[in-house]
Amino acid sequence: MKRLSTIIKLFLLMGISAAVLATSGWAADDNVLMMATTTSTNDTGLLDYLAPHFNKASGLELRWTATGTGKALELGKNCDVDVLLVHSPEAELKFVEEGYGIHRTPIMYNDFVIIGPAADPAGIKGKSVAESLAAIMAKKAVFVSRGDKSGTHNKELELWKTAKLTLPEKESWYVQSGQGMLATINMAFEKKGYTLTDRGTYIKYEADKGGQPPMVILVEGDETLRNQYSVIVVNQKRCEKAKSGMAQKFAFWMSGPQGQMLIKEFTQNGKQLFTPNAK
Amino acid sequence: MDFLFQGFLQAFKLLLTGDPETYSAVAATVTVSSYAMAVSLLMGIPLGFALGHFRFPGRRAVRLVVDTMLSLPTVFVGLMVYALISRQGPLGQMGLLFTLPGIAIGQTLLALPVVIALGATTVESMDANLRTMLISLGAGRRQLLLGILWEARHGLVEAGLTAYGRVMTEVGIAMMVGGNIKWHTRTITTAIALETSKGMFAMGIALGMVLLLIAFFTTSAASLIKRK
Amino acid sequence: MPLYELKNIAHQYNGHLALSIDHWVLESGRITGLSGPNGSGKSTLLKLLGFVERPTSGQIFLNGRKTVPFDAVVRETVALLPQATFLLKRSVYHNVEYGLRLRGLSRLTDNRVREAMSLVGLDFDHFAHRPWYALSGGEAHRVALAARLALRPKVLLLDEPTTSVDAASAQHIKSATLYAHQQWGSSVVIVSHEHQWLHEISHEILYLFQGKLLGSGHRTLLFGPWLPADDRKVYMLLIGEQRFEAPHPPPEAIHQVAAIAAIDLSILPHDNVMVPAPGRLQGTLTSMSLERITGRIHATVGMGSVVFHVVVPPEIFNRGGFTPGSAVWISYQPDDVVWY
Repeated sequence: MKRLSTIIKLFLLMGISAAVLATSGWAADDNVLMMATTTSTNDTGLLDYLAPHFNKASGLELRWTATGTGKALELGKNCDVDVLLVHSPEAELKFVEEGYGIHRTPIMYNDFVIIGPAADPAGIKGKSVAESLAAIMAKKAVFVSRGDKSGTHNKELELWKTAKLTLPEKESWYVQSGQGMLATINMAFEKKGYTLTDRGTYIKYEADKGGQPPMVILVEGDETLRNQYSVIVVNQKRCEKAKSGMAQKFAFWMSGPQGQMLIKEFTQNGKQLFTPNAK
Repeated sequence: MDFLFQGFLQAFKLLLTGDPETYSAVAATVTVSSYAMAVSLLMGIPLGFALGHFRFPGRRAVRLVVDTMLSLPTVFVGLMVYALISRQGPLGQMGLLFTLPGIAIGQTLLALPVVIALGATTVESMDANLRTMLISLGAGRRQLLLGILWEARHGLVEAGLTAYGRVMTEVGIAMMVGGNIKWHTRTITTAIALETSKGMFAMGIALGMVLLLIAFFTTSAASLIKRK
Repeated sequence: MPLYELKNIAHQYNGHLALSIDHWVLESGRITGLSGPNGSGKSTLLKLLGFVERPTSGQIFLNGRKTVPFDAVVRETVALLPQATFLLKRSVYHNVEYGLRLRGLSRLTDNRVREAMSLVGLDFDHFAHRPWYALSGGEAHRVALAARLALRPKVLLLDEPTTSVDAASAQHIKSATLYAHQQWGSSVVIVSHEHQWLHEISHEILYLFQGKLLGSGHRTLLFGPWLPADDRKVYMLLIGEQRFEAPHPPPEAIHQVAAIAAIDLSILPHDNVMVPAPGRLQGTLTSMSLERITGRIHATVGMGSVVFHVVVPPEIFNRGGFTPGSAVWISYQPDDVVWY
C-alpha cells in the first residue's frame, strides 16, 4: 500500500502546482472592450489607427480578434465578445432579429471590386457585374472565392444570385480559398484568376506592391458592389457578461463626429479606404 | 523568391532595432509556452513515470489513450478549449478566452500527452537491471524512485524538448483561443499566419527565424542539463 | 536461529510458476551452492533471498523475523550481485561507493572503496576514476562485486558470478568471495554452473529443478525419450545400445524427467556382473573434483549426450583405476529413480 500512497502524493503535488499556475495572472481587465471583426478592418490597419483615438476619448481599451464575418457572428452568439464590426448586412439583420445583437449601427462603406490579371483573359474590363460573371463562366476562367462565410464571400454569393447564375461551386475553375482576403488575392494572382475584394484591402495590397500591383481593378462602381460596415452591440439580455454599455459607447463614438472624421482621414498610399456614412 | 533572403535580413533588423510588435509576440510566445511546459512537466513527469514504472490494471488502456492523444490536431484542441472557456462554456466564468493562460491551457493539453508518453517509454526502456541493482545495493523506496528518475533524465529532457517543440510551433490553439490580439495574445506563430495571409511573406520568414532563435536558446539550455 | 526460513513460497511470472518451496531453512555462516539446469528457479530463489522481489505467496523469515522487500533490516544485511553486470553511468569509484551512500555510510566511504577494490584485484589509482564504459566485461563485473563488498554484507548472494568473465576476473571473484566469508563471517549463497568451484567452496550444494528444491547433492537428469520396456518399466536408450531403465513414471510426473542422485550411483573401474543387467552402464570418466567439505570425490561419467554425476567414496577411490578418459562402470537401483 506504500506504493499507492506514493502515487497519491504525486497526484497531490501535481494538483497543487496546477492550481497555483491556474490562479496566477487570471484577473480580467474591466476597461477592456472585446470586439470581433472582419479581416479587412484589421489588415488595412484601420483599427490600429482608430483604437488609440478611441482610448483617449473614452478611456476604454479596444481589443479585437480578426476573423471572417461568419466566425465573428458566432463569437457574438457565444457571448465571447462585446461588440462586432462586420460587413454582411443580411447575416447581421438575422443576427439582430434572433436577439443576439442590438443597435446595429451602419458606420462606413467601401465598395467591392472585381480584380484580375491585367491581361484580363475573360475580357470583363468595364462590363457590369452580371456580364462579367457570365463571361468568366463562359470562358471557364479561374475565379477564386473566399469560401469562408465572410462578408466578402456572402457578397459574392449574392452577386451570382443577382446575376441569375447558378453558383459554379463544383466547377474546377471555381476555387474556394478558405483564407483571408489578402491571401485570396495572392492565390488569384498565382492562378491568373479573378476574385472579388473590398476596395480597402485592395488599396492596401496595391500599397504593399509599391503601387505597381500585378492584379488590377477590372469591374467597379456597380450599385450592387457597395460594402456596408456596421457595428452591432452584443445583447446583454442574452449574454450577462457582455459589456453592452461600453459597446454602446464604441458604437456612438464610431458613428459620432470624431469617429466619422477619422475614418474619412484614414488613407493608404494617399487613397481613402472607407467612406463614413453613419446617420 | 527574394522574400527568403529579405526575410533573413528582416529577422535581424526586427531583433536589433527592438521592434516592439515582434518583442510583444516573443514575450507572448515565451509566456504561454513557459506556462504550458511548467504544468506539463510537473504533471507529465510523475504521470509518465508512474505509467512506465508501475504495473496496475488498466495500464495498457491508459497507455493507448495517451499514445492516441499524441496525434491530437491543434485546431481540434483549440476548439475543445474554446468550447470549455467560452463565456457560454462550463468555465466561462473564469474569463480565460482571448488570454494567454487560455492558450496555455490548450497547449498544456497538447504537451502533456507527449511528456507522459515519452516519459513512460523512457522509464519502461530503462534497463530492468537498474531496479535490481538499486535494491540490491540497499536503496529504499524513495531512493529507488529517485535513482531511476535520475538515470532516466536524458530521456525525460528529450521528452520535454519534444513537447516544447509542439507547443512552440502550434498555431491552431493560439489562433482559436487567443484570437491573435495585437499586443496581448499575438504569438509568433499567429503573427506568422497573419503576415502570410496578408501576403507579407518576408515578414513571415523573419518571424519564423525569430522563433527558431528562441528554440535554439532553449534547447541549448536543456542540453546543459543533459550533459551533466 | 536460522538465517533464512522460507514457508509456503510460490513465485509466479505472468502466471507461470517459477518457484515453489514448501519449507526450507538456511543456516547462518555457511557457503551454500545452488545448482540445477537453466530455468530451474535458481535466480528466482536468489532474488527472493535478496528481497529484490516479493514472493507471489508465502513468507520469508530473516534472522527469525518475517521480512519483506525494503525492510530496514534487509538494507543492512543483504547484498545481491545479479548475473547481468549493470553499472551506473559514472566512474568506478562512484559505482563502488553508491551502496554506501544509499545506506548513509558516507564517512566510511574512502577506506571501504579502497578495500573492496583491492579485494577484487582492481588497482585503486589505476581504476578508481575510470568511467563505466572504459572497462572490460570482467572488470565491470568485478566493480559490481566490489560495490557489494564495500558494504561488508552479512549475507552475500551471487548469481553466476564467474560466468562470462575472463579467467583472471573469475579468480579474483572467487578469492574475494572466500575472503568475505572468512574475514567477515558472511553467509554466502552462490548460483553457479561451475561445479568444481561449488564443490570446492560450498558447505552444501542444493539442487533445484523445475522450481523445486530437490535437496542437497547433485542429480543426474534424464529427459528421455522414454520407451516402454514392459508393463511396469520404461527405458531411455543411451550410447552403445545401453538402456537406462526406470519404473513407469507416475501420473503426477508431468515433465517426464527422471532424476537419480549422485549418492545413489556406484562407480567401479571394471564391470561388476553381480549387479543385474539393466542397472549397469558403461561410460567414460570425464572429470573428478574434490568436495572440500566432505572429502569425497565428485566424478562425472559421460555416456554420449548424458553426463552422470557420481560421488566416489574415498575408500573406493584410493583403490585406484580412476583416470579421466578411462572406461568405468556405474550401477544403480531402478527404484532409486525419482520422476518429475
